Amino acid sequence: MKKNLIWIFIATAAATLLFEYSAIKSVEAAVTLEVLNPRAAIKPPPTLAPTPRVTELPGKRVGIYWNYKPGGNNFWNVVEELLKDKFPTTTILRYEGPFIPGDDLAAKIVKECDTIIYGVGD
Amino acid sequence: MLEKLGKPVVLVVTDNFAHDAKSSAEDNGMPTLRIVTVPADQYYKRRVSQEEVRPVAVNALNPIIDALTRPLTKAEANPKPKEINAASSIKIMAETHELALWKFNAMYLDNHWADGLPLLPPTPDRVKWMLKGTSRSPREVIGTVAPKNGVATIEKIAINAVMAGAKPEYLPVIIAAMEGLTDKDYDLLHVVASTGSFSLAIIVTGPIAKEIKMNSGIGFLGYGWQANASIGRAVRLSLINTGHLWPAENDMALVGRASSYTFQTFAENEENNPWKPYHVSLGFKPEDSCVTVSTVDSGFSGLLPAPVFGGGAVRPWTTDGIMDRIIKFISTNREGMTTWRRGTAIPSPMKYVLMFHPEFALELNRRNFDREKLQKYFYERTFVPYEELSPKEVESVKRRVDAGEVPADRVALFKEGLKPGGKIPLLNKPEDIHIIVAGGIPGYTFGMHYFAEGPYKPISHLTKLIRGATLTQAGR
Repeated sequence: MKKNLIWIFIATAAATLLFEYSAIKSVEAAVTLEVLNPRAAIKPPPTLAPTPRVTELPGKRVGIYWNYKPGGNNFWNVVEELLKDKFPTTTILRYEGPFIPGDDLAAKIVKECDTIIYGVGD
Repeated sequence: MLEKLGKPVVLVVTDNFAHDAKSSAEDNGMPTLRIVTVPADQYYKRRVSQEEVRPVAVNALNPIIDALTRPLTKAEANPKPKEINAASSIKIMAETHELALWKFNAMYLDNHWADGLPLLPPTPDRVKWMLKGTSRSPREVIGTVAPKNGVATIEKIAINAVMAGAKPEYLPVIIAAMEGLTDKDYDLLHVVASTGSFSLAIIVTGPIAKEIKMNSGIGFLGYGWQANASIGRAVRLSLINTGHLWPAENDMALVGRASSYTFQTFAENEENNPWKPYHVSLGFKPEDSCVTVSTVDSGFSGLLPAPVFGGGAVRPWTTDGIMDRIIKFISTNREGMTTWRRGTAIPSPMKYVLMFHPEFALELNRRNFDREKLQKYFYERTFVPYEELSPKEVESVKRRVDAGEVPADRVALFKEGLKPGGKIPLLNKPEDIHIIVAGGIPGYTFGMHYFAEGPYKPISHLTKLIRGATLTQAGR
């Protein structure tokens, strides 16, 4: 009898807990706010891999492109000097132009260089 | 571009711009572009001379060589496009409505879909309500939005307008502003992303301004007017969410902007405007309503300080005094003249958006000036005598003429000025002076300015017709 009472007590307690848990769950879910996504879709351009690298710089033609942002020329002058010191047989070609080179300038750079350092970021 | 033409490229940027550079590479379809960074805290202060910047270059040399010559990894050679979460709606569950509102605001800010101030929730019903303000289809595409080229539809703009606290009758104005900013020739990228911290003037002209109760009097750039504030804020939120924009990630405005949340959104004061409404001077009809978007200085970037020419309730002013100050400001504002070069960070001569306070405009009208006469007057009086130009300035003017960077119909004028006794225009054309009557009585006459061309695209000032309105008499 005593054993049965204990089981009844346990069952009642479990039922109470389960009820309270459900109640808590139902309170948590009492309000559902549906909101629309303000973010625009992006149609990504085709994904491309970078071009394979040159294996070494000696004997190669390296372009340095600068966008006239004041002071950048000082930095690139030193980089040119250091590259020439380290790789005497490397040709350094300097280019200047807008953030985005036009078709003609881009074609010229691509034709004249084996690899390019693009210095238009801040 | 050069990579796409088949040549290996290394992009060199400062480390504070690494995220921006990576993001830009993704936008252009090359997410694994090789990027080398140099420390921002060294580069900017040292670039003043070769000697100063040498240690920065020395430290950058090996990383540059490595990036030029190290074979691409498997991951670099097989880039995957970035996935964008395209869920059209989100369900937020909470104990109470108030908590749901807080959760919504926290989530949107965490996602970078907000501006930092509380938002109204764009529920499907609220967005439907907002869309009642226009007869245009929610699916209509307005354009793509820099920097990440998100597709701006009427529906996305309406969602952002709800979040901003706008009313449906404002929606056609907000759409027209977005149409201006996404025009194929408007340089939106520069205004939303440049370190120069530029801002926007959003100017509403025509009968709709009064119908939707826009402020054009005392405090026209201030708080307290729902139309001014929420139209500007809706444009701001639309730019964040359709352009996928975020400060210090791809919006690199170094100091932010004076009116970051609402831009400088106001209406022309037509009641006290003695001349044709601004849009009519551009060829629109008097009954039309229009929005003009214009890239302008932020007011405190230091690159382009905003000038006040006179007016106010403290110091007495005279019409001649204000005219002289405007002429002096424009004619001496040529610090960048030697570096004006299309497509660069300092791309062209200036354009000016001049706000005339009503008393000043009325007095000028009494003196028989109209807008066109004033444009010509300022243009001609800000020519610089050849003898006052430095050799570098002369060289720069010659280069711009040879490169086709001055308007074709003004080449002869420039050439004529490039000799002793001649004078060189500081503006490309008189129409680069935009005169708007705004403010109350008393008021100030002041200017906002920016380059006449943007570095990436040719237009920095554009007026669009408001159309499709359903809840106002104007703008239909």
